[in-house]
Amino acid sequence: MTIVTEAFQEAARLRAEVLGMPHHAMILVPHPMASRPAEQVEEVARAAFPRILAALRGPAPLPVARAGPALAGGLRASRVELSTDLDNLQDAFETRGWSDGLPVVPPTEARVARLLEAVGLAPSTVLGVMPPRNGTVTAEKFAANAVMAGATPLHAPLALAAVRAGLREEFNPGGIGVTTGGGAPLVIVNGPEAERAGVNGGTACFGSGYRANAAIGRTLRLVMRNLGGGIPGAMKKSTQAFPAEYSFCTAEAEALSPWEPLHVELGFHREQSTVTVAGVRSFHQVTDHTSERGEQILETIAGSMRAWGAVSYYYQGRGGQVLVGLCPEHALAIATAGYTKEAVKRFLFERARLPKRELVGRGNYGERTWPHWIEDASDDALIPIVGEPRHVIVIVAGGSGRHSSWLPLWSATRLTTVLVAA
Amino acid sequence: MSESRTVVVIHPAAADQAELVEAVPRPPRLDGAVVGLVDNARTNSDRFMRVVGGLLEKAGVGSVVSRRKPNPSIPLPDDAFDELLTRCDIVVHGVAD
Repeated sequence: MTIVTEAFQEAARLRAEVLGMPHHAMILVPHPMASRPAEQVEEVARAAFPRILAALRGPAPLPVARAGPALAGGLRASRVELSTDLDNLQDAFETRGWSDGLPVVPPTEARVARLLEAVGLAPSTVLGVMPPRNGTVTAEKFAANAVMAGATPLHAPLALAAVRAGLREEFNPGGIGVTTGGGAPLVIVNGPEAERAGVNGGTACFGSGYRANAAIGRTLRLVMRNLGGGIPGAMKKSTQAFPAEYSFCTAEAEALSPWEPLHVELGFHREQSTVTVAGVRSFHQVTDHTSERGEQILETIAGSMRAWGAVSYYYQGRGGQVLVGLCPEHALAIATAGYTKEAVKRFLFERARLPKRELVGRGNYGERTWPHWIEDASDDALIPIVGEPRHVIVIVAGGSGRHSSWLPLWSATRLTTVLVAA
Repeated sequence: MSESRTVVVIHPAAADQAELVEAVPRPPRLDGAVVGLVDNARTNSDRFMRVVGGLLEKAGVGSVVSRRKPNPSIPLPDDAFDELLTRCDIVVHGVAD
């Protein structure tokens, strides 16, 4: 039996249906719960108790009859006939709930076939199941969403790798697609495939202007929406979310990096290509036009990371991560000052700290997963933004100029890397 | 006119339907029954469930087994799940923020 606040009723109902329990017993209580004063929470619980007790005593609700097989039509997708009138066509996608709000390219048989050919997969190949809607991601469904996202056969291997990474359990796609805190997968492409497919890692690397970046990032998002059910008003409950949800993809500027690129750091060969997804919560830009020494730049970045309300501080017990995107000019200055990538991570771990008193009683304090040393520490103790230096992920990306960024990952997700099929 | 023309597209969304799961019968009486309570790790969820647990004990249930999810967005670990399955006659959990 489930106790659910009113605001989560529809999401809970849909999830129960996905689990095969549309008849599941639910007890509705007022929203919200987390921000309610303690005595009110107890009052709400007491007031709801007679209904809870009655539901426990009553007979279990019986399943309702449902027609149709578990996967109608088997592993092959059905075909849908739509008007070709351009205005009506986009309306048809919107009406069916298949679009993220931007126009899509119609996934015709021929276009989908071309993408499948590019990745060498049969249409009914199962890539995985995308939670929380638990849609079966076949190669054909992947290709349909990739076409809709604007991908061409050139982009298909990277878009496929992004979806494969997004399906991994450690990425926690069922959570990040719908969490109230909002989160979007940043897709990072490493290795020679990035250039071959035209993925930008230079000027405006996190912004707009490149079809490869747009299509690869958007493919994963459309799969999370159309097969994972990450649809606002339904299972998706993100309070605000952020615009990176449309698409968020960059290459690492490997040629301009003074250090080994991300995939080499993770144990791959430089000539291999990988796609990494990072479930990030937000994007914090750090400008430093003034500092001359690398150490000063790192201090500026660490200062920016000393941010109230950044949930990373509260989730170190769960191995929460933070991604730092250094622009090439900052990276070069930092490396010239003698810092290896490992030393950058250690510096930020040591300096991106807040006094415990600034964390207690606010932010996500109520849900903290702190190790004992922090629980036992004095109010003056400096608490790091992550539990260990290795949880600071460093990439180099961007064009000329002196603007870097840091992006906190969501608490319940981990950086996930997939090798791109040769 | 363009209205009469159509294009066939590949259905891009989920068509899966879960197999229906039948709930286990409710215990014949709550007196002596073991009730599991799972709080979702959101602030105040433990407080809410403590009140429910206390009232259940007053109402005569045999015992209450309380477990907390590691994080609101991470499922209950398998061992805790299995324990609830083994020990409890019925389990109550919460979805809230």
